Amino acid sequence: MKQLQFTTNRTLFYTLFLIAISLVFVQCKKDDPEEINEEEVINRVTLTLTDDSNNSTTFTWNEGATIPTLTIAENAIYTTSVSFYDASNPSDIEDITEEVIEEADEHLVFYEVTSANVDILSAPNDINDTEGLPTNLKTVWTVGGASSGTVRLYLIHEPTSKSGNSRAALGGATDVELNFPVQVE
Amino acid sequence: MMKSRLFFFAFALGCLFLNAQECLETLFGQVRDLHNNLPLSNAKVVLVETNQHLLTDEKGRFVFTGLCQQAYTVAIAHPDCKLLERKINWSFVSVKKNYLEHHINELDEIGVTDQKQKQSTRVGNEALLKKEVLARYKSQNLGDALAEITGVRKQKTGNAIVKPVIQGFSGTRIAIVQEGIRLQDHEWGADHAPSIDLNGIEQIQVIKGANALRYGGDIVGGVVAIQPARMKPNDSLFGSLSSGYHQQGKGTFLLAEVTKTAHSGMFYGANFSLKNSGDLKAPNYVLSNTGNNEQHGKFFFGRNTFSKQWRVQYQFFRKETGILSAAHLGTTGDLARAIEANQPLIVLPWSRQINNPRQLTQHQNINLKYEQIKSDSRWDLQYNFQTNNRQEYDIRRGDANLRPALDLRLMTNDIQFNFTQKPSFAVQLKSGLSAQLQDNYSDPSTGVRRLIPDYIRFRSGVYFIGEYAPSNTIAAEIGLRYDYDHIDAKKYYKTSDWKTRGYDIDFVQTIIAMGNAGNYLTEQKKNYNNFSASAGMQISLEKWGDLKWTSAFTSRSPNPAELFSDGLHHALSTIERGDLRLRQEKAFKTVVSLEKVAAKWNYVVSAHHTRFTDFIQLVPTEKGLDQTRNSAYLERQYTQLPQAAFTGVDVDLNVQLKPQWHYASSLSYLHAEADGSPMIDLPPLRISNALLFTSKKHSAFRLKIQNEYVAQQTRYPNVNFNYAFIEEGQLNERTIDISSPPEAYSLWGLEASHQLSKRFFLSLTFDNIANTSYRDYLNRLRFFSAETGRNVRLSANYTF
Repeated sequence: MKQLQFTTNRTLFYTLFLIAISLVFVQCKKDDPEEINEEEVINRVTLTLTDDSNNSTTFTWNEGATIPTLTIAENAIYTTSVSFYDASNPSDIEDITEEVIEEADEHLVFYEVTSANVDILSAPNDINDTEGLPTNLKTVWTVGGASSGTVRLYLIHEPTSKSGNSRAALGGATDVELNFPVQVE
Repeated sequence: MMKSRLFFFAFALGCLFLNAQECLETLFGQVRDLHNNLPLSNAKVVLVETNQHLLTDEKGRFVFTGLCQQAYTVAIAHPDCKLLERKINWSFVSVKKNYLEHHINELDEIGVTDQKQKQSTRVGNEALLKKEVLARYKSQNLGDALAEITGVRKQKTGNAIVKPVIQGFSGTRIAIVQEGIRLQDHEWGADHAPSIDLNGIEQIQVIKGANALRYGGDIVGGVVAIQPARMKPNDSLFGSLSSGYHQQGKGTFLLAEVTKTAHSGMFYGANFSLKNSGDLKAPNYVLSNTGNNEQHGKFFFGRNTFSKQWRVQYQFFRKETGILSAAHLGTTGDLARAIEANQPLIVLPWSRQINNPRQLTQHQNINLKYEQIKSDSRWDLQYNFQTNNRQEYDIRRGDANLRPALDLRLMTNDIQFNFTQKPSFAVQLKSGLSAQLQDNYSDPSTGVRRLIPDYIRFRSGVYFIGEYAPSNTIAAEIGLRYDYDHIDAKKYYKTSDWKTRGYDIDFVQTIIAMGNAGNYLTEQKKNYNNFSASAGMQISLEKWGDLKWTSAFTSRSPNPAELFSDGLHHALSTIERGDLRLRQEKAFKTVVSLEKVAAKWNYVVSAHHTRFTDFIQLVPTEKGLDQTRNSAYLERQYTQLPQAAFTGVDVDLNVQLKPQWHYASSLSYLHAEADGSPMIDLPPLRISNALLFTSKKHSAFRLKIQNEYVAQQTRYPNVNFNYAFIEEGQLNERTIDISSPPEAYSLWGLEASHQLSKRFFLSLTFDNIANTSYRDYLNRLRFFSAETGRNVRLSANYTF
């Protein structure tokens, strides 16, 4: 059995050279990574309902918490505005609604109601996109008789159409989908 | 001086067909160039004792008949090479041995195959893809080309992300090795295609058995080994230029390669690939945003004398891929609607533009290799530095659209030493050492939680492989490997998650700081010791072919994706989570195969069984939905299944019907279960049949008709979820079926190629001729769209 022999010192030199190169890259410890402040996370949504007499009630959902029940009066008309926030950092709450308004063309708020006697339409003071289509950030809620059900709120990003009357017809990706229980009394 | 060196070797196979008493033996063989493994035609072969002369045919083959069982001396001569003389002793020493002895010098380049028995080069058609075959796939993905090999399937995530699956295993359980170094981008999770360009590759092999231990002890499926061409020490300039058009995506490509070799053994060269494609089309609609843009390049130089070789190589790979627009989801509601719609919800006019969501992968690699070859030993030393960068761009708001949502950079240093020795005629010993240092960095400027944290990983391994082939009819091999694996990761955990998962009890000592945004910074140090072993045997059952058996035990440490994943995969609206408690995954695998190579009948029948302990799999969590987000996402977690078993069979058949007609058929079937339940994402039964016509003269014209049948997977777990649709003011809750595999499908293909002249080669291929609309179970985008429809590919190749 022949033994392995390095033919020249040059080979040995190459070996050492390669090991030296690899050592250059060696870091035994990494610096602590930077903590990421997650951006664009929508983890707080508020619905502010204002009645004819200018009394407003705000319902707030926070990520992880139970979705609040919207208790509203029968046969009333409310002007409702919706806001989206990134509340990851309690000392620096970011209002994402501003970004939605800035990119009104790419966004649409959409409501679906089940069982309850509530009709939701874009408000006269709603924010429109560049083509004059409403974003539904501000809506008028026309409430009928006592009932209960669900108001589902969607924030749709890049909808393929803004005129459909079902979620499926609007396309795009859903950024927020929340089922608010609604109690009309 | 140089002229006196041996430039070719004889590859000879002996056959004892008939009664040994009579002089009716046949000796056939093939003469190949030692450096590029190409057959040498017009080499003169002389049987000294009988003074029989022959010239090898265009495939380098020769046949002597009417021989007796006695010693013969074969002399081979070729105008460019030195005379080679070999003595063949019929009764004791087989011709294969003769081949072996010469072959040792080149073992790693050409002898590496299935069981790595030297004879197994004969079954190359099963485990080997040669340049001729690769040439037809040049403009496609590695995964597409590999699917030509029996037992290898492809798994798709989108249309340009194609990964190989070997005997049901993929990703981290197989290894993709380029020039001896393992590609590292698997460690990030499932949806990454290997950064490999098929242009400039000489051959690809799938290695199973003991020899896979050279590349790692954690490889259950097999090793995909990609080999560069070996350079001849003569003055020559050669290369090729290819270009073509794909009807799908109106894709175009331009590939160029050039190599200069010199008499002194010096060589240098380069190759480039440019590929561009727009949106693909399913039979009934455009698959919006499925364009693809690739640029690859390679430069190399070195010197190859017969006994020494050194080589320096740099390569880059850049690929930008659009992700099907309709696959971008926000919530499970979107997923529910996408599935009910049964066609993509976003179909835009055809375009070449790649928009968000998209993926950008960049790979760079520097390789230095030195190799020394002696008559009875060889060794090599290799250093490799690779960077893998992956960026994913999502649909976001404002400026964030310009920033990736995921930006990973993995740097890997590898150093490797391999030594092969042939102490006696029948024995071959291989051993080696390797060390690897990795640094993963996840850019925080994405503004999105890191999917994979920052980590340093150090791995080191040592292996030993022994091969014993006392005669032509029997061979055995054994392999052992030990690996040390150390991972040091620094990862932020949301304090709430930390608690829910019970880490506050088991891992409290790993917390190093409390962040400002509600996270713990923790340092996770993991150490693993892995022992792996493999043993195999091959017996030649004259009439039936070679019977091969391999059993292997492998131990694999959980990778960083499995340990630490923490984030959202938008394409599937799935949150993937790692688990700090994962232990090593252990597998015991046995493969038995029968292989025969003869003039008319060629077949490989192989059965495999793998039993896992602590199998790691990404499974849907019990609650299925993660409700803590602003809206619901599916949640999958890396989980350890105590017992899992995979059993499968692969059959490959190739029959020569008439001199110009061949029939080829292959079948793969896999059955897997974990604790008595079926497992997710397993390939269904697949059968392919092909009829091939080759015109006699220098294979000038070639026509292939093929059919591929893929059955419906009938064994799958139920991972369905419920979603409440609002329809006409009513809440209607329905089950969303994301478990049921798509129906069986059958596709026809046609391939015609013509060698117009020595330099010009034209080929025309039709895929999915009938424009069948189908979905594939292994494609994770099957929920959103059908697969691509008919494709016509035209390519022209000019060689110089």
